[in-house]
Amino acid sequence: MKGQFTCVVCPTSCAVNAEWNETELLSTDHAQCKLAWDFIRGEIFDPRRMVTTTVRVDDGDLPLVSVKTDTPVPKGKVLEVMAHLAHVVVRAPVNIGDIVVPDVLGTGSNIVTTKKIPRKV
Amino acid sequence: MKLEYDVAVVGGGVVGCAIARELSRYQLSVVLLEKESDVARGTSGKNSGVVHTGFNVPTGSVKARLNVLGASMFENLCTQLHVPFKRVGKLVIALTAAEAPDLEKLKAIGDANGVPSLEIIDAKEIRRMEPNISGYAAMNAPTAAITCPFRFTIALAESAVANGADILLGAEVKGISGKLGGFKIFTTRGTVHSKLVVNSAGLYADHVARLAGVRRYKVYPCRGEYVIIDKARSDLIQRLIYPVPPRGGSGLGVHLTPTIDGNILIGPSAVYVRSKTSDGTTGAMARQLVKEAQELLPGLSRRDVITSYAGLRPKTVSSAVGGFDDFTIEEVPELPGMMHLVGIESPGLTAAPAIALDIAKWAGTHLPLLSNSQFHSQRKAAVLFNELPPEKQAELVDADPDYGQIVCRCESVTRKEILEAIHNPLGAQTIGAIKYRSRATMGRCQGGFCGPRIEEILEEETGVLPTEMSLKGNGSWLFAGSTKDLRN
Amino acid sequence: MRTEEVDVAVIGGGPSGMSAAVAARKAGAERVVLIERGERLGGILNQCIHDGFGTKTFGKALTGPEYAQIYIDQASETGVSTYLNTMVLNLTPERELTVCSTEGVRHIRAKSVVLCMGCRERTRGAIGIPGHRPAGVFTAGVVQYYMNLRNLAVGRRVVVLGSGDVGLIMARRLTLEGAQVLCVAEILPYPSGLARNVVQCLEDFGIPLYLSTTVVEIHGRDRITGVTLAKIGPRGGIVQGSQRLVECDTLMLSVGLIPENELSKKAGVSLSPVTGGPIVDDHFQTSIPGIFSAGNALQVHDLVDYASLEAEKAGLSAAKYAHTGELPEANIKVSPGQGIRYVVPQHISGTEAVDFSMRVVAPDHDRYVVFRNDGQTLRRMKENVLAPSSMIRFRLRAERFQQVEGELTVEVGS
Repeated sequence: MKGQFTCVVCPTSCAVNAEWNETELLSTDHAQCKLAWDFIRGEIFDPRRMVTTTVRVDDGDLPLVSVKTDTPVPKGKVLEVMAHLAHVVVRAPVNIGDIVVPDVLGTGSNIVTTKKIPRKV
Repeated sequence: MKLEYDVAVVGGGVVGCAIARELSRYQLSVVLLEKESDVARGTSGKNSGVVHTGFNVPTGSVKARLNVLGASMFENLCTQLHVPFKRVGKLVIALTAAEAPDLEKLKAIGDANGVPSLEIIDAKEIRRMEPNISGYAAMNAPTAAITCPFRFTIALAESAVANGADILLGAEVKGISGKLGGFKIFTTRGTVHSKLVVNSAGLYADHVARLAGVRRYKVYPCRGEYVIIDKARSDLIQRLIYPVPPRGGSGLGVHLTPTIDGNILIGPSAVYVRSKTSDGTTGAMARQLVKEAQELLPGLSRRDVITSYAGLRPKTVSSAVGGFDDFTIEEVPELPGMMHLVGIESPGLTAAPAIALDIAKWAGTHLPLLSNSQFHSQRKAAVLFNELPPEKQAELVDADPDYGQIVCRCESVTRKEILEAIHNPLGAQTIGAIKYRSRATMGRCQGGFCGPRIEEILEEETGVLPTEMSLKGNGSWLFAGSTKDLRN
Repeated sequence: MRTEEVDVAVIGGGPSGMSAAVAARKAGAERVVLIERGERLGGILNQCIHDGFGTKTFGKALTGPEYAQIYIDQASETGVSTYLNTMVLNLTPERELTVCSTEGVRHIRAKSVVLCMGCRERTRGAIGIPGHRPAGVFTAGVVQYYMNLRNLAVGRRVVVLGSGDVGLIMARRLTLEGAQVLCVAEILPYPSGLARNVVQCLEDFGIPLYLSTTVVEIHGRDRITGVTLAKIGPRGGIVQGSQRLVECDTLMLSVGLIPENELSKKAGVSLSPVTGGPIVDDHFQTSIPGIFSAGNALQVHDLVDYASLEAEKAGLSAAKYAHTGELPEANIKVSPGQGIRYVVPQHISGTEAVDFSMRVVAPDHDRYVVFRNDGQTLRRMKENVLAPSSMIRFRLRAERFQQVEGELTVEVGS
């Protein structure tokens, strides 16, 4: 199979043409460095994304706390993770790095908080 | 709402609100019916805010009489209502010698109309008075003034309410039956019974007249677009700067108007439109306005533009006929007891207090006018924190910490002013109601900073849900729901 | 009226302000006050919940709030005095501030001031999109605030105008939460934001990007019902016949950031018409002695890291000025040459190394950024990719300035 990818490892953002079969990346062209290879292989066989979002907070000085996946999750699961988190509510006080959902949807990634939310005064 | 009123005023523009207030001086029960979510939502909220001297209206016309009388009453009225008023003066500029005779003509009309202190000045004097403007000659009208048209209208309405009048917002008139002594007005907020009716419905005066069976009027909407210039450029001009009126046109030429808050308005344009809801702006006109303004003020830049808006003039002459018509203020023989005010375009704002006197007189021909001994002309001063010296600001904050929280950064509007706007006597509940009373969101960031904070305060103060909040009524919702409910 | 005397007053408690205040304390300034109009420190980072912050300063891709917390902790640890919910109403050239909070209106007299007020978003009114003024037209930062801090969604079917990073990030955010982003329109013939964001915010979600396209009319009188999109020709005019209506219930604008310098103007600080921020020297001192500037108020940054680094230098210099009352004169003018839109600082003392910030006029690749003086090349740096949306940082060591005569220019060359 053939296709074109924008490599985003560095700001050069090379437009790379790639060729691959079911199990391996066969060739690339127009890539200015070796990092493109690993990036494109990842995009083809195991594309992953970090997810940053918010979850609801009860009793806090803000109604939401920002969270993230502590490692990238499979790209195909992103919207599922989002739907799952829409129902999560945590209780204040919240510290940075609290695990809100361990191993979300079996991805091996934890949902951790990225903001401090003290209890509402 | 009362079982029966003495007078029902249809239309909460500046004229309707002035009438309601004037009538509340007497022992008359008055109701004002306004179809929008607040007063001053039509033409009264979208004009230049100029209090005209009366040189640009035909001698002997109703317009001229009411303009000059209204102008003489205006300052005192603003003082009573605690609405800003500033006698900045006006220069009508002749750019070339060819236009100079027009200045003489204007002065002659002004003199005949009783306008004080008009004088013709030369190029040198223009430069001295307005260093950024050049012209061949000009007519100086030093008594011309500016005010805030929507705050003035709101103040009139609040004063009327304080003196016993009722105001129904969101009450659109759907039908009028009956006659003198017993009119029945069908509105979207119920039926109102009244002995007399005043039709001050502005753009819709022809429509309201027709609802009562009076078919003789037609209002032609004529759009005026404006561009608002950042306060940072307020140093460019002190006075109203108007060019000599174009001959035979239906507009007044591109004006530069300093506003009472320190912005500069460019405009208005004058373009007939087909619909009474065609009050959107056009990109082309805004560009043209800036370009023409730059001919008078080369230092102006497109980057100084904060925003633009448009209003519709209720003209009674069609574009084919062109020119101007006099005010129509009359009771028609086929339907006594109902007064129609049609075609109240410029100088409608200036004339409003004088029109109100006339309407009160008219009411007196049908009903006894007994003085309302409880009438108080003074309205409580609304504080403009922004305009006070630091010592006064400090005093206010020490007395009330709500003055210490600045909500609108661009206009320095405090939490206290926002709260007062929220709890306004008319019960107007939109974000627009807060904006037009406090000036919040009117600055260069157009609500980028204060918008979310106003939403929060509104929710805290009134318990209204964000999904119920609106910008200006009529389905102008702000929020679709909570973020976490979007996927439902 | 009460007057407080301080050494350094920093206006704005975002990443730049916090960095400047901490640097001032570390440099030995005794009384350093950090004045913030909001309820908490952190500035815009409080609502930037996505990651990518801190790659240059901390070597990590943090989220906005995490990056902010690092500086919040440092401010506290170094003994910075923080005034929250406090608005600066006025600033004089003599460095007297008038501030307002629920505790009162009072003066602060500072030996030096650092202006870190950040920027505001360009509005619909400023770009003059014709039409009515219905509800439902928001700038991206406001949508972000509501969405991430107040749990409020502004609409369900969104058209985005502007492909800068803020717009792209928010297009993704809206989509992740279940809104429908119908398209992103960009008036330029290339995207304004980073390629990474075009890929991960638009391509990942199948959101179309229409280049050389803008919104030419807003429809709906009460709530927006749609927009007319049109293609823009090479000379900036609308391509006739390209107009099409897109129905939506929200228009989100991401059409530029404007440094917020009203206070700077009040203090008589000279502003650059190109950057919108103060003209500064290599100490980040403005035209008014003792008044410094850094961060988005000085020039709109793409990376918060550079804003913080710049502010660190400004804070250090402000502390020095507070202590000694003077800094080396900066008489060497630095000007943008061919292909460069602006360079900061605009003049330097030549006594120490300088990290110049600049932007190019047009996209390009495989070129050199060249510093020249009096016809000679001082230093040049190869850049594989040049984009107006990516700020370039270029360091020159102090030795380079020793032989300099007259003016320095920076240009794009080969």
